[in-house]
Amino acid sequence: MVENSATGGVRQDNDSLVARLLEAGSEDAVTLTGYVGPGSREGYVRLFPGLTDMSKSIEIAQSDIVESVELPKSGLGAIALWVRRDAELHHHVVERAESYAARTTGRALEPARRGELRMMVRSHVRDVCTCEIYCDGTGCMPCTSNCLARAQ
Amino acid sequence: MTTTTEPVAAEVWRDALAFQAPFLIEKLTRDHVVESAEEAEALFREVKRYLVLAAADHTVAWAMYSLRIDQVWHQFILFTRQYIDYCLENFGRYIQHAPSTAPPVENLAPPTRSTFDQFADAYERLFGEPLPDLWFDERGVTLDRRLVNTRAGTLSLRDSDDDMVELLGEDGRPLFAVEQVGRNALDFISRTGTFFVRELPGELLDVQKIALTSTLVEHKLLDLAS
Repeated sequence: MVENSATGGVRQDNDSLVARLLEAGSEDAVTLTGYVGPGSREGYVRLFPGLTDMSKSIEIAQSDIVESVELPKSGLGAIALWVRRDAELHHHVVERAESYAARTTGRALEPARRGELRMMVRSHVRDVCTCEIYCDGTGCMPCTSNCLARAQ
Repeated sequence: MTTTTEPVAAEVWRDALAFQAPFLIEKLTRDHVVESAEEAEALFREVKRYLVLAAADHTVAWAMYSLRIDQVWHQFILFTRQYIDYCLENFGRYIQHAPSTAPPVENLAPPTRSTFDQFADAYERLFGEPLPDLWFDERGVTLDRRLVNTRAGTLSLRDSDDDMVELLGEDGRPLFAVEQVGRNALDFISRTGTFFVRELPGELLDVQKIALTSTLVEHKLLDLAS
């Protein structure tokens, strides 16, 4: 612990997260949160976004991880990782073979049942949206129409 | 850094999330866009969360997946002064919701568009809870819900080999199918621009009427009316 006149006498901890992040060059990193497990190869870890669906994860080279910190509020060991902005993330998705086949072979409709009613529906329609926005450091792109909630 | 973690977000975006708009709630209720002030408050909370999510993570073009929440966003923007102030004070920029003919912004290369799963994951990380039902328009379908079919008159029906009836788009491609007991209801839907769920003709039980129409809403073939 040191006293620093530049910070108005506020006590600073050289071992604090902020100090460690600054030292590690975290300005050039993005933050990812989730639960870490072993990677499929040496030198990598696997990050699961949540515990309710373990079918999706990303694999990150340990050398691309700038810093990590546990998120105490999670109570289940969730962590935040600071990962180099240019790191290559390897996505893992576990998918049923029939679902993959339907998606890649372009089968038009797939079975659905609700309220004891047998139906056939198009897959992946959930990704159709009403509009989208995105922002960079200076402005936000308006909501655009190419994402209108209409069936093609 | 471009992505904000949940504990940071709760602090950084506290003011944006706590913003109250009684003028908007009153208008939504008065104009029957919503059924109650509580519903209006709940939908407006999701508008604020959506805007915060978009502002917190610049790496993705965040899609809007709920027509109901989108409607409330539209209504908020109509209070021009208040909306501009809200954006500038909380995000340092104006967040537009432009019509379909909006020209692209120069020198702003579009990032990858979000998928619904991505959106749901980001929402849960940022706000510490899963997407509420409000993001699933189909869960708002009841017998007294009014629905809109913007393609009424361009759709047609065809019997399929497996004892089902298909709903065909303008180009003749199948968009949906239901077993024969739903034929009359689907025929009515294909020809009708606006209707209440309870009005569906045929042999369907009430629970089946809701099942049929909520599935059509979920799959973007019907819209919830305001």
